[in-house]
Order: sequence, then C-alpha cells, then structure tokens
Amino acid sequence: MMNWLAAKMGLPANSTGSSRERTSEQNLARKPHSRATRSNSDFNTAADSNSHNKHRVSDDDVDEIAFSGTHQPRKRGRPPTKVTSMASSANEFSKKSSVVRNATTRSTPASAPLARNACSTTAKRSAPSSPTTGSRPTGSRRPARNARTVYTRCPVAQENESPSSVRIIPPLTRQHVASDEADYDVDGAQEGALQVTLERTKDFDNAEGEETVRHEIVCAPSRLARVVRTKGSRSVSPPTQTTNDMQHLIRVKKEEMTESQDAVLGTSGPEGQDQVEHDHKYIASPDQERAAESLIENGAEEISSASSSRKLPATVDKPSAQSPSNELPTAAPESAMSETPTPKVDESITTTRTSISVTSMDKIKRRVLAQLNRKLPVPIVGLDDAYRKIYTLLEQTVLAPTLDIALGSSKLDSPSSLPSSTKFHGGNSALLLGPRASGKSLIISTALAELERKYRGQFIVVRLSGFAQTDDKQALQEIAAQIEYGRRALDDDDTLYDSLDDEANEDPTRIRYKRQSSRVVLERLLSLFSGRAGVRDDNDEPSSNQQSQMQQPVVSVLIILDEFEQFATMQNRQTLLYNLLDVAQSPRYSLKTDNPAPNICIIGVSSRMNAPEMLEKRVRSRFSHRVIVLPHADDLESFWRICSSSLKVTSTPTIAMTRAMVNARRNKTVPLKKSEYTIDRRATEVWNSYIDDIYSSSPEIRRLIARAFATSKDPRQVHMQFLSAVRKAGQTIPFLAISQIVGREIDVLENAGIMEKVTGLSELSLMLLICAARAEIKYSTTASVPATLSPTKPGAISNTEGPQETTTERILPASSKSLTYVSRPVVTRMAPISFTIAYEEYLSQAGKTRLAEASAGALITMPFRVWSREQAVAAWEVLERRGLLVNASETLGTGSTGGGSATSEMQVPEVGLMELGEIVKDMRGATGVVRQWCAHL
Amino acid sequence: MSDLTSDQLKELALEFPARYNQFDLLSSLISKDKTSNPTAIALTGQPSSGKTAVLRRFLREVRFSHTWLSCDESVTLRVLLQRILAALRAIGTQDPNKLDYSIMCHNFTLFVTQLNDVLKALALEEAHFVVLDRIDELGEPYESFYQLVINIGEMLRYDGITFILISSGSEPRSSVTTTFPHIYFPPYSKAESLAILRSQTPGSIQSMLGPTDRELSDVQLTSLWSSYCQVIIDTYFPLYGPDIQQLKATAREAFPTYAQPVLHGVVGILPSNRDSQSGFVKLYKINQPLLTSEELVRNSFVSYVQSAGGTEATGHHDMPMYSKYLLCAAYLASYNKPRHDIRLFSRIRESRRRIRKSTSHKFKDKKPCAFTV
Repeated sequence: MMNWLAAKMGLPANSTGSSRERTSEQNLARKPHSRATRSNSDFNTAADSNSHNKHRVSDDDVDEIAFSGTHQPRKRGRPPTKVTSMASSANEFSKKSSVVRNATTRSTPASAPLARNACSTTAKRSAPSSPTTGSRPTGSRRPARNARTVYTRCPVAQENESPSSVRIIPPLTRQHVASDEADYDVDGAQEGALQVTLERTKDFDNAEGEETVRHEIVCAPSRLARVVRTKGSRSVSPPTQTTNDMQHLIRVKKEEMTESQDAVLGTSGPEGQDQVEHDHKYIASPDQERAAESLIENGAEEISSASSSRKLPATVDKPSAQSPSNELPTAAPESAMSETPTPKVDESITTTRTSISVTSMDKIKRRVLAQLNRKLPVPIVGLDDAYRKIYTLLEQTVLAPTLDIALGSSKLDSPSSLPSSTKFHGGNSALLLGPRASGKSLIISTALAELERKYRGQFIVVRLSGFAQTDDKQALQEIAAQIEYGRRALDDDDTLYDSLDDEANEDPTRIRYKRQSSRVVLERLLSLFSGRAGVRDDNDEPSSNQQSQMQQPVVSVLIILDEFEQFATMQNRQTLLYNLLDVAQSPRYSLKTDNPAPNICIIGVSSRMNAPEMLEKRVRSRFSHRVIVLPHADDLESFWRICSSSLKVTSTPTIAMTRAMVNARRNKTVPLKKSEYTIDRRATEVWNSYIDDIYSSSPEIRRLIARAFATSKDPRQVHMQFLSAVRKAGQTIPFLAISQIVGREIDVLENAGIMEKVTGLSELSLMLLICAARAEIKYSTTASVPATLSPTKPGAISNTEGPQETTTERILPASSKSLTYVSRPVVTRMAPISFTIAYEEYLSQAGKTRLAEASAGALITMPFRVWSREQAVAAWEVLERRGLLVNASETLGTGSTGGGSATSEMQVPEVGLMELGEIVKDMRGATGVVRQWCAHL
Repeated sequence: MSDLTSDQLKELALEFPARYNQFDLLSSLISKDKTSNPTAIALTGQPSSGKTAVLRRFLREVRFSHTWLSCDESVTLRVLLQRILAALRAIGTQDPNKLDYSIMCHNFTLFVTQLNDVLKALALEEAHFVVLDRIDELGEPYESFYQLVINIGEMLRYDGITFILISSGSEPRSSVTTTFPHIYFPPYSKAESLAILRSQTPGSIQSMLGPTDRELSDVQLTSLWSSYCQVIIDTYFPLYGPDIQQLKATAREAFPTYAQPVLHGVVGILPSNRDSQSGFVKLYKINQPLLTSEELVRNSFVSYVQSAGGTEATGHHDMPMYSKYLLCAAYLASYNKPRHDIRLFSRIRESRRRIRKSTSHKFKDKKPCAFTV
C-alpha cells in the first residue's frame, strides 16, 4: 500500500493532463498542512476555474441551463442564504442543511473569505454580459444570483428574435426583462411583478397578454373562431353572431373578467387552474376549426402587429409561474421560479384557446411522448410522503461529511462523544417497495436531481440493476466503474473540488477489467469509500492522511439497487448485500479509529413485496428495516391524476426533468437552449385543460381508465394507449382522436395467453388438441381403455404405469367397476396422452362426423376431410411448439424421459375440454364441426 | 410528427392486406426524433403473421437507420450480445458489413457498459433501431435478456437507441408486468389469407408457370390464379390455418400442375363470366386427384409431385430386409430397462448366459405391439 501511494504521488508529474497536474500540485501543497494553505489552494483553483468559466461565457452567449449552475459546488464553503427561496414544505430539509452549513461556517473561519471571493467572482463573471447589474453589492448571495439570472436571460431575448418575426425589440426591452427577473425572485413581490407585466404586455403584445387576443377580436370581428378568454372563464363565440353581438358579449366578458380576476388574484396556482380547466369549452364545428387553423397560419403576424398598437385595458395579469400539474412543493425550486416568466417572442403565434401553434404543439408532443415513454421524469403525484422519506435519508447521508468538518474543526477531541453525531450515524439503508410502474424510480430520480441541485459535487450515485448485474462480481465491477465515472464527472465539472481522497486515485476501471477475486475487489472498493486505507498502513504517511481527512469531507456514495430481489436471490450467499449493508450500518465513529467510516447510503428498489424476507439472517440484521411501501391509487380519480401527470406538460421543466434532458444530451457540445425546453405557458394551459376535459367528457376514455384501474392499476397501461394519439395530435382542439386511443392492439395483456394461441391454430391442430383433451378426460375418469381405442394398440403408453393399472382394471368384472370408481378418489391423476391416442380419437370423431354428413346428404358442399397421420403429426408438432402440449415428464414426473419423436412422447394438453369449448364458442372462423367436438363426450 | 404520410400508409396497407393497423401503430410509435421513442417495443403474433415482413417494409419506406439481427442465428446469448455491439460499432465506418468481434462481452454488465461507450462514440443525431428478430428462438433461455432489454432505458446514459423485439411465442412470464408498447399481429382469417394469396401480379403468375407453349393474357392469368387461390384456401386452410407461408408455398408448388390443362388447351379460360365459370369447374374436376391426395403437402423428402396424373406414389417406403429386422429388434429392445442393457446386449458371454433365462421369462407377458415407422 505504501508503494502504491508513493507511486501515485509520483505519477501525476508525468501525466500531461492539466487537471491532473493541478490536483497533484494541490496534493503536494497540502502535505505541509495548515488550514490556510488548504483554503488558499482552493481559492487558487477557484480563480482558475472562474477565469475559465468567464472565457466560456464570452465565447458562446447562448444560454446555458442555470440548473445546478457551474458555481454551485462552491456553496460548500459559503454561508447559506437560500432558505427563503425554498418552497414552503421543503423547508424542513433545507433548514436542517442550513443548520449544518451554519455550523460549518462558524467553526471554520478560513472559509469565510473564500465565500466572499466566490461571490464576487460570480458577479464578476456575469458582469460582461449584463451591464445592468455590474454594480451590485457583493457579499450576499442574492445579488449574485440575480446577476446570474440576468446573464442567462439576456441572450434569450436576443436569440428569440427569430428572423421570421419582423418586430424589433426596443432597447428598452432588455431592461424590462432584467427588472422582471429581479422582481420575480423576491417572494411575494406581486405588485411589482404586476406592473412589469402591464408594461411588458405593451411591448410583447401577446406573448403574455390574454388581453391582446380579446382585443384583436374586437377590432377584427369578421374573423372566425375567436375565443374570449378571461382569467376565470373562457367561452367561444360562434361565428354566426353579428359584430354587435360579439362586441356586447365581449364587453360582458370583460366585466366578468375583471371581477373574476379580482377574486382569483390572491389565490395560488393550482386552485385557479382547476377552475379554469373546468370552465373550458371548445368549438366543435369543423368549419370553425379550419378557420382557426388558417388563423394560425396566416393571421399570426397580422395579429401581433395589429394588437401592438392598441391601447390595452387596465386589467392585470397574475404572474402564475406555478405550473398546474406541479403539485410537489419541493419540485418548484427557486431556479424554476426565476426562469418561468420568460417572454417568448417567437411563440406569439398562439392565438386562441382552442389551438396551439405549430412550434408549441411540436414541443408539447415531444415532451408528452418522452414522458409516456419514461424518458423524462414527471412530477410526483400522491407519493409525497414516500418521497420525503427517501429524500431525507439521502440528504442525511450527503450532509454527514459536512458534519465531519464541523466536528473536526471544533474543540472536541473525540468526535464519537458528540451527541449530534449519533443523529447521522450509520444505518443508512432503506427498501422502497411497490408494484411496477408505481413511481419508485420516479421518486429516486427526482430525489437525486434535487440533491444534485443542492449538493452538487458532494456525492456520487451508483445505480445497479438486478437485471444487468446478475452476480456479485459483476455488481462489484459496475460499482467500481460507476464510482470512477462519478469521480471523473466531478473532476470535469469542477476542478476546485478535488473530491475524493488520495486513495481513490487508483483507476477503478482497471479493477473492472482485471480478473481478481471478488474479496480483493470488494476490499479495495470499500476502502475507496472510506478513506480507511491509510489507516491500514502503519507508516508515517497515514498520520498526515488522517489529518487531511478530518478537514476534507469524504464524498458520500449513494447506492441504488434496482430490482433488489435479484441481488437477494443471488447464489453467492448475498455477499454483496452483506458487505454493503455492513458498511452502511456501521457507526460513523468508533472508539477504535478516529476516521469516519465510509459514508454510504443504500436504497433497494423492488417490485416484490417479500423482498425483505428474502434476506439472509445475517444480512437482515444489518438492514435498517426501513421499508417504504408505495400505495396504489385508492380511487379512480386519483388514478387518473397519476395517469394524467404524464400526459400533461409544464411550461418549465422540473428539476428532475431538466436533469434528464441535460443528461440525454451529454455527448453534444452544444448546450441545451432554453427555447428547446420551455413551452409557451398558454399552450401548456390549453393542453392541460384539454387533457382534463377529455377525461370528464369522453365516456370512452373514462371506460379505458376504469378498466386499467380495475385490472392492473398500472398507469403505463393507460399511457400505452395514448402513445399513437399523442403522436398524431392536431393543432386544434380535439387534439387527440378518441379512435386513436381506444382499441389499439398495443397492450400485451389483451393478446396474451392460451386464448390467443388457440385462435391461431389451424383446424387440424385445433381438432387434435380437442381430441387430446377428450382422451385425457376419458383416461383420467374411467380407469379402463375406452372401446373406441382398440386394446391391441396401446402404443407407447405401455411404457408408463398408467396402462398397467388399466390392465388390472380390465380384468375386473364390469359390475364392480362402479364400486372401484366410488372407492377411489375421482380424477386423481391426469393421464398423459400420446399422439397415437389423440389421433385415434380424431379418427373416431371424424368417422362420426362423416356419418352425420352422409345422413345430411347433398347439403354439404365441402365434405369433411380426414387428414392422414402424417399431416396430423405435423399438426401435433405445431401444438407442441406453441406450448399447448406439455411434456408429461415435466408436469407429472412420468412418461418417457425424452428423446423420442413427437408421436411417442407422452404429453398433457395445456387446456381442458371445457375451456376449449368456451374459446371455440367465440372464435372467429371456427366451424360447426369443431364446436360439436368440444361439446359432447 | 410521424414519419409516414397517410398516402404512404395507404399504399403499404394495400401491399399488406389486413395490416393497416400495424403500420399505423409502427409509424406512430417510432420516429426519427430520438427523444420521443420508447426504448423497446415488441412485435408479437403467431408465426408467419407478417411481423418481419411488415417491419422490413416499414423501415425501408421511412429509411430509419437500423440494425437487423436474427437471433436464431446466434447460438448463445453471448454471441448475440457481441453481434449487437459489433454491428453498432460498425455504424458509420467505411464498411458497415465488416464486423469486429475482437471485443468480448461475457455478461450483461459489460454489455450495458459497452453499449454506453458505443453510444457515446456514435453520438447519434437521429434514432437508431436495433431489430432483434425471432428473439424467442435464441439458442439459450432468453428471459433475462428480454428483461434487460425492456428495462435498459434506465441504465443507458446516452439516448437514441430503440430495440425492436420480434417474437412469435408468448412473452416471458417474468416480464409480463413491465408494460411497454406491443404491436400485436393477429392471425390471418380465411378471407385475409385468400386476399394475400391473390395479390400477385400477372408477371409473377407467369413466372410461376415457367415457359409455356401457349401465351395467356393478363386477364386470363389473373382469373386463373384467383380461382386457383380459392381452391387452395378451401382445401388447405383447415390443414395449415393462418400459416400464410405454408399456404403460399403449396400454392406455388402445385400451380404449374394445376394450370396444365389450360396450357394444353384442354380447358379454355375466357374473360367472359359464364364460360370461365364452367371452365373452372372442368379444371377443378381434372385436378381433383391432385387436391384430394396428400401428395402436395406431405412432409417427407422422398416423393414429390412428378407431373399431372403421373405415377402415383405409394406412400410406403420399402426397406432392405436387414433394416427391417433391425428395426423390429430395436423396437423390442426398447422395452427393456436401460440397466439391463449391459446384460442383454453386451458381448461378454458370462453375463449374457446368466440372464438369458430371466429375460425369456420376462418377455412372456409382453404381447407384440403395433409399431409406427
């Protein structure tokens, strides 16, 4: 180990990568070890990376995603001021974190100048792109953040000025946007925002203004399909009305509107939204639809130019940044709030409440399809409790190292005696159980995205799946690889934060491809987590290492085990689970060592309810017994709410969604543009209200939902039905064709099983199957060979025990047969059938049928054809291949031991005669003969 | 948004009777836009219900970039994994058909890792489709692989790949609860089978007949073929059911024989309705022996349809004398338990002599049984 460390220290000098060199310098600088040098080195790198960032900013002024902004990790050493910006119900977590971070600040005075530096550099970085905010005071977090938002905003305004739109944004605009942003950042500053909105509506006419639409109707009444929209209600005025009528209507509506707006103004988003959605009406006549379409295509520019010159009524618009389906409080974080009210210039095409512009519709479709196909996480509905539990657990784990710093720099010598350390001591494991598609992965990914936003760079996520990692060794390799990946990501993103301990610098990918015993690999890996590796050497090196670990937090590792039950059933005596849980449950501090234990959290995700019981005893005792079971939807309404969360869109993506989008484009050099991921808010409102409407108005959809609710309670079953309709959605209001939703053969459950197999059979195969089922009944109930089968031809059945019994039975006199029948239990065992028996039965049945036909005379056009044995064998083989015949040795444990041809092997039909009769009754194209055969025995 | 226009869709539906819905679903489920595609879709249905043909035709029509892999050509799962990766790596290289199998892939973990690497290297702009044809006919149990593929979306860090699974069996039971898009191909009904059989151009009908003495007009050919198809369906649909491949093969095989009387001028087919009807009846009467005997559809390799009214195959296979005896002996021997084999049939005299009495005793209560060859 000593050699290895030394080699590693020497190694970076040879390496050419710049980041690696920097790291090595830091490492060397840290050797003498005082706190000041540590923070200095941090600062140096901070400045370095900032200059790098600045360069990048000036290079491309397309806006980057502000989510988990590049400066975020620096937060570690900074006094937290973000508590106010948290959504209300998430406060408990953030408070907790703020307490921790406050403790950090108090105890480490060296980090304060660093923080100030970081802030100032942030402001400085944004200065060149935003002239308005250059003179903001530094030292607090908020101005810096404002500066950042402005920096992200301004390019949008420029960029959105697409060549197609003729309007030129006045120089005033940028100012507006900036102040607008600033106002939105302050919570409860509604009045300011309202004013801004008023002004802005003048400039950006119908980007935000519903008024514009209304106004446009007044001045151009000859146009069809106009919709008067108010805040509280919408209505469509039919084109047959005269201008006067319309104007009157509009006037009335205007009055209504002002009233209702007064009422609505104070309320929060979702309630108002509900009201809006239920009042929604849409035009039905195709003419009007067409007119509306043409309106979109032709009149868009007209409208914008016409309405921009109008004087607007003095009504106000509520800045409802809250997206309607965004019910999760924690999913509406400050960054989303600050991004929402972007005036979209190029999407001002949206005109009426019954149609959506081409670009918006395209975006909506994409988003919805991605949501339906599980590519994007949707807002969590109805699982807030479970989410909170998982999130708390994860956050605790992530925060534990921060606590270490606090402890390490405090006066206490023995950290184990600190009472608060018990709060964060081990046992960070949980099981998340729930049926498939119940939202388990959604909870995990949402929580991880939220964590990444807050504590970026402080943890590594390792996700394993029982489907991919089929044994412990593979799982270990994958853990190694993912830690390496996570570490690289940390390095790439943030050179300031050289996260892992020195021990981690061994390349885990080397472990991945090396063939080693799993014990060695596991040991190494766990040492990577813990930083214990230094302790195991008894040389002089570890002492300095220990000190460094006291100050430098260990990176937390969050391990998510998808399909947990697969790990529990692994043959290797659950070694992996044992070791992982052992690490997780061990106390963070013990008396033996002064070093913190590895800081990991393990969350098992499983769809098997008995997953906890599958653990071995020794593994179970290490598990924290935190089992979170996700509930099913209780009633139809809540089930629909869950289903519709994937069908609806939010104008601004949630944190988790944004993260997924960013991840999806990881291999692109071009950053994600804002115009790509935000959707015009009005369009989303129209769409969402339509989705709600479709449920309340269409009986077919209700039936579909009710059926899914009654059968599987699987929201994805509903989603599958919507896929093709969403892809083909039009732009006017019956967006989705009901015929596209209902009755598509897209669901696996509808077409699976025996019934489908039987319907696909040829007549001959079906007849043979029926005969096999008949013969089975004959053999199992009566113990003698039926008269139709000649006793000289028992065929291969004589191999088994069955015929021996039949021979003994045959010796008995006929009178005693009933006696034996009574004395023995009825149908104790099923008789296996060979092809020969089935074919005999077929021949006898065919004889009967032909006889009947002959008596019927010339009425039969196609006489019943008896197929030869050769053809029947082929048909029999088809039955075997389709799984309608099961080898008797598999089911009953008797019969020939394989190897024979299809004719001699003993089989058991998969379906009984009664069942066959039921299937054949409804079967398309089944002849009367077949039905008869099923009927009597 | 969907990549297939409605005109194209109509054309395709004409080409493939009774498969409009499937084309429609395909075009609405997958598109070039990679963000909106599912990670896996399944095409299920009975054998020879048109899954492969429909998908091939669709992919040709819309020109999606795709990789087609027949799973039944892969003996083991490992081979399949390597083939998938090799095929993906070959995308965009100079010679896409030259596959590089040098990188091993033993297990699923490596597969996922390498797939991520490949996707990173490819940096797909548009969606790419990996078609796994006949996944249920893989040489090994495929259930775990199936589960991996349909859940692989959560494990991939890079977007842009969609797996299309074609299977004719039912889905593995373990993955039934995972809902993902399926396109179901129902078995063809009798009328649909007839329509499919009939959809042949006069040129292809002529080519089935081969070089003939007498030229038939296109109308004659078509009417001859459609009446013939009706006969074939009526006769062989009970035997083959919805298996359109078998029906097609049979139809193609017997057609020259069937059309012989027309070509020789024994039966005339005229465009006029009544005459063609009578001609058809005459033709049917002539060909009845062909249709009622099972010569056409026998599975054996021994006899073929020679010519119309040719030598009738007996159906018996005469064997050499020793073979007959050997067969009988083998049959009798099959009644012995395997543990007696060494005693009964070994060449060591001692053991044979000792056992002989008991075996003769044993054979007493065995009656000779019928024995299928």
